[in-house]
Amino acid sequence: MASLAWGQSSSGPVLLAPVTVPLPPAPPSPESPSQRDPTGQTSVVDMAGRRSEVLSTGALLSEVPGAVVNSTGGVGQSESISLRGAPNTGVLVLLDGMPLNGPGDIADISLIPPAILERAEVLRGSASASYGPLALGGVVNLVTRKATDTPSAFGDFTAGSFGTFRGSLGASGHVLGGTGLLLVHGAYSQGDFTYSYQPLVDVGVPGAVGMPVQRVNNQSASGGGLLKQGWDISGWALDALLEADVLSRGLAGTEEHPTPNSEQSASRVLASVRTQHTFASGLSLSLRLDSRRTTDNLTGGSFGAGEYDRLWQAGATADAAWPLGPHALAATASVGVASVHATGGSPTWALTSLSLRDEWLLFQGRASLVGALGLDQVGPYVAASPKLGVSVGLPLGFSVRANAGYGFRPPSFYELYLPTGTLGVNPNLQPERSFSVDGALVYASRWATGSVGGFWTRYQDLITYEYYPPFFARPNNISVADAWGMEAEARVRPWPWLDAQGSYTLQQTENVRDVAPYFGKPLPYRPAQLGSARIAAGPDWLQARVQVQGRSSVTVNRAGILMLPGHVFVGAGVDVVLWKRLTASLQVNNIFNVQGQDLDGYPLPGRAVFATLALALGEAAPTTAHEGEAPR
Amino acid sequence: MDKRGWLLTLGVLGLLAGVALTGCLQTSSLVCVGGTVECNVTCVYLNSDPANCGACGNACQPRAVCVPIEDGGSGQCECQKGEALPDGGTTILQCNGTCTDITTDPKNCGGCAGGGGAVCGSGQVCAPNDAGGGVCQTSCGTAVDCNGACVTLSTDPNNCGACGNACAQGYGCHPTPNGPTQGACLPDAVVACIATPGKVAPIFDSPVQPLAGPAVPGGNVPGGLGLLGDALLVGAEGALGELALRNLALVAPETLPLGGGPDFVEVDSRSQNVSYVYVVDGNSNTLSIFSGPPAAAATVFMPDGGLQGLGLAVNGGYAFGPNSVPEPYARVGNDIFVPLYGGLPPTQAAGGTVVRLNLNQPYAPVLVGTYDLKGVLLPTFDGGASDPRPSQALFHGGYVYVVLNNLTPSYQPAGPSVLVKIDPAQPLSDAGVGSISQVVTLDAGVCLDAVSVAEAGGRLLVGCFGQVQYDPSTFATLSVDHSGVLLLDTNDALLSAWSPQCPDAGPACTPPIAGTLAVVDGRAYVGDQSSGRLFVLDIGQTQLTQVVGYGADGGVPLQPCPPGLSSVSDILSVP
Repeated sequence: MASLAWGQSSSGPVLLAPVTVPLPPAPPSPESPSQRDPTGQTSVVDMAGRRSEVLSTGALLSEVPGAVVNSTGGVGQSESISLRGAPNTGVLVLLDGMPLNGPGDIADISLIPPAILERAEVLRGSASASYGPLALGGVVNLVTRKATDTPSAFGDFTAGSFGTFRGSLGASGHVLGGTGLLLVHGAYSQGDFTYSYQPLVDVGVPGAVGMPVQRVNNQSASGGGLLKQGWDISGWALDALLEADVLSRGLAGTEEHPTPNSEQSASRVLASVRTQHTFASGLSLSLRLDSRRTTDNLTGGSFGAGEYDRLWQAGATADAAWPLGPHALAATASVGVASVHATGGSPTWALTSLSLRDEWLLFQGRASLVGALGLDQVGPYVAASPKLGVSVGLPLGFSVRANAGYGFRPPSFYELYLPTGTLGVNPNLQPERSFSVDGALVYASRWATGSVGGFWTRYQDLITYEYYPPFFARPNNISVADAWGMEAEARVRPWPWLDAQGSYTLQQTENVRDVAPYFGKPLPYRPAQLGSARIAAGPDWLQARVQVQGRSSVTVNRAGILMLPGHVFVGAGVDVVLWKRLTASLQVNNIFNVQGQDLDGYPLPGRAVFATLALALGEAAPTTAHEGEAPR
Repeated sequence: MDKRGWLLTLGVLGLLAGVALTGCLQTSSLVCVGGTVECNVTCVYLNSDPANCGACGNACQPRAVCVPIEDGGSGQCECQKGEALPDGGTTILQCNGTCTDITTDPKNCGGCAGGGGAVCGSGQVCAPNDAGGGVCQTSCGTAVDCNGACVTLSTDPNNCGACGNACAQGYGCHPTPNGPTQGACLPDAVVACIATPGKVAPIFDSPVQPLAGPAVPGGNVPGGLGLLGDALLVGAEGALGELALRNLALVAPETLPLGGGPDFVEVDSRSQNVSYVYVVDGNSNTLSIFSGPPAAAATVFMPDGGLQGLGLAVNGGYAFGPNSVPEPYARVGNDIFVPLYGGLPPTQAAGGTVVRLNLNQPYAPVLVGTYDLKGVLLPTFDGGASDPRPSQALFHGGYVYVVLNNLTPSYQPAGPSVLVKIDPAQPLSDAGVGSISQVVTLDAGVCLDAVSVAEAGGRLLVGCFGQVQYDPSTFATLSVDHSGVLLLDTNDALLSAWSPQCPDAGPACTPPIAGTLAVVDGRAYVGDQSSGRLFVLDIGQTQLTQVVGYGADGGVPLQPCPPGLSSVSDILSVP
């Protein structure tokens, strides 16, 4: 569940409202929203203590207000995220600050195993001033597990419904003169759940009933590892990271048009080296080199004999922060290159980015004004993205924060140059832009955190695929759309044995510049209401929990006619400490076996049961929510 | 700096930031695409809208129409041609700058005044004569006197139902013996356009000058059209739409849910008490059945002239199964023969059959049997295998004709297309399996990828998509071969073939792809799949002759759909 990270302390003079706030488990990196965008509306969701409960990174992120996670059904299938009504191409996803999507791709967050994560930080709102391209609707920064100096080892194994097995094994400690972490993980799911096939029910035929159908070609297998090593060399922190994953899965298709032979195999290798230092003057400096290599092969179904792409992106990023009186000046500069080699071509772009920020403390630190300006060049596209934010501390633990800023997303390689399946290209596309304003009332105390706020965003030059008879579709910049609504989240821990948290989103979207049938209609795939809640209770050795998550009905075409019904899933689970740090867990998802569909019409699994055994030795992360998420 | 100074600084900074941040926002507005331009907050077609012909606000005068002057481009006002005269002329001429009907205009009776025509004297009227011209006389006789013009209110498009009531472009004047007036403006045909956005367009059929009227919104991805009472039914993505046939005005939406890809609408109005509307949906793989009022009572007009829904309700349906992709069917009595096209390889086996459903209970289809087409040996150019993919069925000459287009797994023509003939009177096996009576192989030299069939006076028309080359990146149509229409005699022998051609190669003309077919008043209307054009063919005894299309005389096809990015998905002939 989401918890708040606003007002986190930092190495710079970020002094916000005089309230007690929880600190994150590890010092924030320069890419953390708390550093880059201290007045932004940010949520933090922790993985610690929830590894038996959360089966995918998408499931974790779906607890964040404003986030719509589209999962194409079943364990191990693809997941993408949309924030505040932005297209899923307009959310920048980072792993420890390294971009997981660039000009060539959408971030498939199912490729990030939750086993390697410690938490996720989600910044909502247009954020290209601080984060550069792609941050139309916001930024997701996934933070990996930290390496510890004290020796520790941990492992877990889960088995459950649909022939699902997964496990991870890791160790951390003092090694090679520094701290190191090695984690390996693997997962397999047959994915052959049964769902109700009900086409006549869907078109409203009276008395129609569904029939049980077995999902086929829904299997997935994945594996990978995370290697982290850090040193302190004369006050300079030096960190290296290597992360790799391979995946193979069937692409089962929609209910009406299943694809029994369509398959995807993918791989990713991420590598980075970073050094950080804070000088006596207060100037802190971070230099990072990173590289990402992904491969993707698609066969069968609409991909015919096969399509592939090989993407490579590399960059060098420098972050500097310098306190100067009431000002905290910061700058981020990066240069890089992105290249893809695909069935349809091999474009390469240069990437450069500069972000300048100033956090200006006012009224003895009770308020801060943050101005930022981003200048970005992505291939042939350039953009300037300003942002202004303000935070004002109020009595009794309350504070107010508000922001206004721009986002920028250049057209992707695929939209410009690389046709896939029946989707064509348009070399004349222009970048998408967004402008968002938001405001929120925030509360933080020792026993509770919460916020309630509103937002309005205008998305401009939206790239949408227009039907191109007789078979194809091509992207065009036609639409301008507004998204607005409210977001609320809260977490209450009145006693050590009780933890209740939840989030709610009410959002509306409207095409305000479009062709006649779509003009004034809502954007498809954006549910008006999203909500989640979780209550966990019990002593340290026995933690029980109940989760509720749902969304309202949603339109799935631009005319606003085709609808998918809403659904509510209820889950429950229990963690029992069997012996010292050996924990057994049982998790039941979708207890009431509700028939649900994802936004693409893929059936979602019904009731599912998963059992987990986890062992933690040494100073490893504890396994129960109670231990892992105790307020600091 | 004191507190006031801080506040002042903050205020100025906030103002400047606000201006800077909001200055680049695009404004809310309508976007006009698909060959339309915005005129007075409305997207209009300058090539077919007589109120905005060639330019916003440039209205054509009475008896004039707006016709395209270049392929997909702008338009210009021209006098209607009216009726043909024995001397090769037409009944509407431009007399002194005004479009004049010389058969009825008392000031230009029989011809332009001063150019062979007469000015009728006081007390005289101008009436059509037997030679096709006009003559001054003292009385209109059985015709109606409209300010000295003798007109037939049931058929005159410029005086339809009442003096001076001119039909809009794309509409003809049809007799309404049981209606409140003697005639009413109705289209002779309606075209459904898959484009962004989806459109429907009225067609005025005339031996002299077929015309398309301005297209109007027709739902999202309209795939099939039907007619019930005075309503046009449009099967579109997600919903069955209702429009007033008289002017194609959208009736207040009803909740008539459909799946994502309707491709055929049939109205069964044989009953005196109830009508049934059947919609085949190739996306949701369903047959949706709606019930409503009988045709005689089905009206979208309220007594005060306002619009109302027909009162249709979902009444039943049939699910063909995943990846079946049902296509337009043939009806033989209470049985329907539904071709199943099949899904993407390797799921084509979910199709390749014709399903026979019985509709004795019109809202409760019962599976009677199947006709397996997988045993049909499809000839291929390279000797390889090809999967049978039926795309339409038609009851004709006592047989159900099923079109098999014969494609490779990558949807390229693998060999000549064939017609499979099923004798509906032939009994099914005990297991409900029917047999194929005959296979007709079509001439691959003139037709590849046959997709549609239509009956034309006892003979058969076959529409052929052809072999199409697309730009691999933009999917623009580069070339089309072996596309066109075949005319088969009663023995299924080829009588004539016609192929649509651009006047010359080049980017100005997108190569046309023949596909959709309909016969309207004895002429064949052929819908284009690459750029929304409509070709008109005269169906002779043994010959297809192009009436409207690209020709040496500079002629151009009708453009009922948005040019450039549209296809004609259905053509409905209005009885």
